[in-house]
Amino acid sequence: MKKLIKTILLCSAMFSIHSAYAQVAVVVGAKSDIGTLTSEQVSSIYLGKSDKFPNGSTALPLDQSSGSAIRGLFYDKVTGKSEAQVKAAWSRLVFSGKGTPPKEIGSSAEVKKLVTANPSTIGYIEKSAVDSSVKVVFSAD
Amino acid sequence: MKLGGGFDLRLGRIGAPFFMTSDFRNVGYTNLSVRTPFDVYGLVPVRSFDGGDLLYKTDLGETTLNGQLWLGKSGVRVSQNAQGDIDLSLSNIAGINLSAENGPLTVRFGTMKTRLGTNGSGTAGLNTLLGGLGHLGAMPGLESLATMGNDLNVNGKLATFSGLGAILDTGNWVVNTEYVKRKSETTYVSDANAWYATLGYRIETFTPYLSFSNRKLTSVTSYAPVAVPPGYPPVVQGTVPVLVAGVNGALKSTAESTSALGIRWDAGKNYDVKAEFQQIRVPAGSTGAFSDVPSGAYMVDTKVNVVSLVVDFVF
Repeated sequence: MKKLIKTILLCSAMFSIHSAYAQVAVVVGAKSDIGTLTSEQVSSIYLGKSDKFPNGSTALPLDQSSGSAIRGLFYDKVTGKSEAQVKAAWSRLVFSGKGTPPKEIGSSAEVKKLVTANPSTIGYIEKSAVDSSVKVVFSAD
Repeated sequence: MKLGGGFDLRLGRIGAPFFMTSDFRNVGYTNLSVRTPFDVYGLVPVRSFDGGDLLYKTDLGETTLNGQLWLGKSGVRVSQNAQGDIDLSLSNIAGINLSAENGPLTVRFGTMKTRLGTNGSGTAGLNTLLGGLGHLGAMPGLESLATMGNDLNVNGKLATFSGLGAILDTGNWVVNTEYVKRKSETTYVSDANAWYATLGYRIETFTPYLSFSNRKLTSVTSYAPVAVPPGYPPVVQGTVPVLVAGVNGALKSTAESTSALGIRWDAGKNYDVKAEFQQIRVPAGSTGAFSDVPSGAYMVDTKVNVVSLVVDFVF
């Protein structure tokens, strides 16, 4: 019994460490005029339902590498969908010629560079990677 | 081609949007089950059309609205005989599709109309039959043959197809359902209505699902023998039953219903594995979705079991 309680405590401790680390920030360039977004607005850009920001300007979403921790976390926390579901959703759009999935970027540093360079782009990075070159428009814990 | 203001124009050979999932029905990875329910999707074997469509997309609060207007023509081989193929042509297609998506729920309505025609050397027998019906149908007391011929004739007849569908995807639960109605002015293309409902529940990478579907025919699929009034020579007496049999041979009931139980496993990054057991029930007098049924149709209620194991890849 003691052993079980210990295990549970250890597990919950690990969970809290995990969630403290596991924070996603959805970012645009620091000079972008996009304000804060809701999770629905971010989801519809990343699931191909919308190719525009709420203010009407074009939105170019950037993805992180397939299978990376941050990507899994982002889709889970923000869209509530698994990577397989997201892939199926994009396949529907791709095979009917209605859209192309977000470009895959290798690292959070690359994402920051790209959103800074192009005001139309939007990306997601670990909260710990946020710096003055980007503006957080949505964050999920 | 983007036209701005939410409009998009496409020209050329485009996937024919008769159904809710027409655009990607052949991409196994995008569908929950092994194949789209044939009781419903088999009603229109037309995969693409030549023409253009205008797409419109707009956001209304949290709801995304999609509209599509499509115009064009198409054709499909519907059967084959010793003389060759019978092709059904669809001209002057005009259709409209509307869908609304809000969070986990998508609702879709579509309707279209077209003029039908037949082509191909396989139509020789059909045309001979129509000629015979017209010829004998002009004789007093045999007018019902003329009506039969006019109803069977395909050329220039109007056909319509409409469907209402919904998808609910809550994360764990996935529900797909669609109801469709096919109507035509020719008995050669039967009137039918069909529906399906697929229910799945995601547990990590596994999604077990259940699916039910049904197709019902609502137009005539066979005629009773026509009585020949007395006084006609034996050649007429003998020809009339042959003509009626010919018409009955051209008309087919394809009514059936299907139950399926399956599981989808999103095993890797770019592929899934699915296993499914289906039971198709074909009522007596129908061929169901099967071709080359001996003696033209099943004589008794028949059950057919299908086991499928598939792997779908996507890049």
